[in-house]
Amino acid sequence: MKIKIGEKIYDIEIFEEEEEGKIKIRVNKKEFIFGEEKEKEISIPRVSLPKRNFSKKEILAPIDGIISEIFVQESNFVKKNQKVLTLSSMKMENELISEFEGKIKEILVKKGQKIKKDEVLIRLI
Amino acid sequence: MSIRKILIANRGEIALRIIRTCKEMGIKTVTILPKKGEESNFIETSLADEFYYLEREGPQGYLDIKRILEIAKKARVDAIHPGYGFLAENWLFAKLCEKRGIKFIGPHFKILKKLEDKIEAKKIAKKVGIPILPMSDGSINSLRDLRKWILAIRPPFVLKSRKGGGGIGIRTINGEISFGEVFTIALGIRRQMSMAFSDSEFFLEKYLPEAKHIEFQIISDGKNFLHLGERECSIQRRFQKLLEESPSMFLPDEKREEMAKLAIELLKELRYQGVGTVEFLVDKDKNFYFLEVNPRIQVEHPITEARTGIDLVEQQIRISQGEKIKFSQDDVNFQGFAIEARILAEDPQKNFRPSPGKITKYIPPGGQGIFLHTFLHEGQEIEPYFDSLLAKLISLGKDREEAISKLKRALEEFQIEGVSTTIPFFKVLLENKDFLAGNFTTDFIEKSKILERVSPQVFIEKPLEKEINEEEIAKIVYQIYKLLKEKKEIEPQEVSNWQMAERLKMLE
Repeated sequence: MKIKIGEKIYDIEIFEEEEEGKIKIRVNKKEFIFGEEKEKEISIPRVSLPKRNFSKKEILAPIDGIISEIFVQESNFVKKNQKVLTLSSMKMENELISEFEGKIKEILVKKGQKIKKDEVLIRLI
Repeated sequence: MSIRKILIANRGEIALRIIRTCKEMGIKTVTILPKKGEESNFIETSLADEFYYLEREGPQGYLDIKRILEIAKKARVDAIHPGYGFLAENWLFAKLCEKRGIKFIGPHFKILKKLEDKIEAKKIAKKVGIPILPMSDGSINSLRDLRKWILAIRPPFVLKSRKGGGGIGIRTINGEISFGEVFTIALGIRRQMSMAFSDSEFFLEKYLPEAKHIEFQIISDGKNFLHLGERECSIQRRFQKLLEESPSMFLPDEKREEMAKLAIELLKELRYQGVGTVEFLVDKDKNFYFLEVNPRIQVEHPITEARTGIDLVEQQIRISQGEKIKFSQDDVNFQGFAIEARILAEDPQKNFRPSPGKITKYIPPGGQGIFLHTFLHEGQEIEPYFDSLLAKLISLGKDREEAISKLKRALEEFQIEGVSTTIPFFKVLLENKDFLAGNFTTDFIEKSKILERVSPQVFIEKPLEKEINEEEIAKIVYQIYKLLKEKKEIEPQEVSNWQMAERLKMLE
């Protein structure tokens, strides 16, 4: 197989290695090996850390769109999978549901606002 | 009075389509766009003789009657062509045009008003002898109404907006369901509809399973009524057309004649003038039922043009300026088989999720028997504001087989990058045995599970500034390999906080 990037053409060969999940990809004769193996090696045994979610509880826009309705207010409590707003994109109305449970700290958008993909819409605590 | 200058109250491919015919007829054109500085995203501005700015963002601008009439006056146009969508079926707009002495290119506002009410339209169809599906004879306003009609009609049925576009608020209710559940769904739909329309009336209609969608193109100067054949639009997703073909291989000649005759009867009853489409649902035993009348040019009109050689936009303009149709039914010469594929900025692999973005690569197909209606070019921004239609790819062959092979060839040539498109879906569809055999109804996409076989679309998101090394290429290849490998596992549902709720308005 050949792929063209910009003006340059590269020779590509893909081999499924015998070892499960391992893939060898040859680009212009240079070999690279991919697969889950590496991750296994570096994975450390699970220690019982207190189970807390340190990642930010943020609801992001999955695609570009326009906020057409907001169902929640600041300081409201929301459950997981609760509908929080509708996002309109290309004449399709789409419901966004919360992936987290928590109290709404901040709503960063207004009805009718145009938003970009991955923009933070709502912050929870 | 002949029309010398037309304002096109629309955008995208249909604006270009109308400009082209106007130029051939020696008519000057005026177009509109949301705001200054966006000219390169609205290439109709470079083809028209003049253009003006709207005052509101996105679709709101194109629905701004006051501003559009202001522009019409300033530009001294004789007529307004509304295209499809936006103001095309807005009787109030048509009435205001008339009041100001500007021709609205479309049927009279009184006809638009009648057809806007889907229940009224069905009653008129019934009057001229077209079968209709069992339905509630008025809007549903209470739980009592709902119970009454559910008992009378029995599931499966569809809840439809009485005045909205064809696709809004459509839900199919199958099998056993409690009254409470029905009511919750009904309330949900009511809320959804009131977001898009001030009037949120809805009615109940029997759902016809395993149906084909077949529509007839009618053209009339008020005296002569002709039909330009049918279009089958059964390949749909969420009640949205994706691929249309003409003729329908499902209809025997007598059935075609019978339906065309009734479609003409209906428009005669309405004293219709202009081009219009009468839509039907047809069951497997070839019983047909009236669906609705589309009083405008439709997205899929080019397949009729390809087969008949008649320019429908030209006919609209000529009828609007009082001309009679210069040919008879016998003069209409149907040739070959035509198919249209709607190239949308949607990802078929993710159940047609919208895919706005910027076009980074655009190489159009061409050649014999291929027609392309589009506004695309490299650098084009595909805004989430507007519908997802990027291009209409039409093929004309001597028979269905040839039309399919031409379309396949053209899809292979067609390259669009920067947004996901429906091109990979059509490539799979045109290889599908049931599709090739004509064995499909409006639920084909769900039933056939065809989306599982659509290839993923991967783009390098940012333009490359420096040359990339072999390792980076190997990484990209590995990502693609993984995607392909995992494809079946990703399906059926991608984990996300995304839920498709409702189609706001049918494009067509």
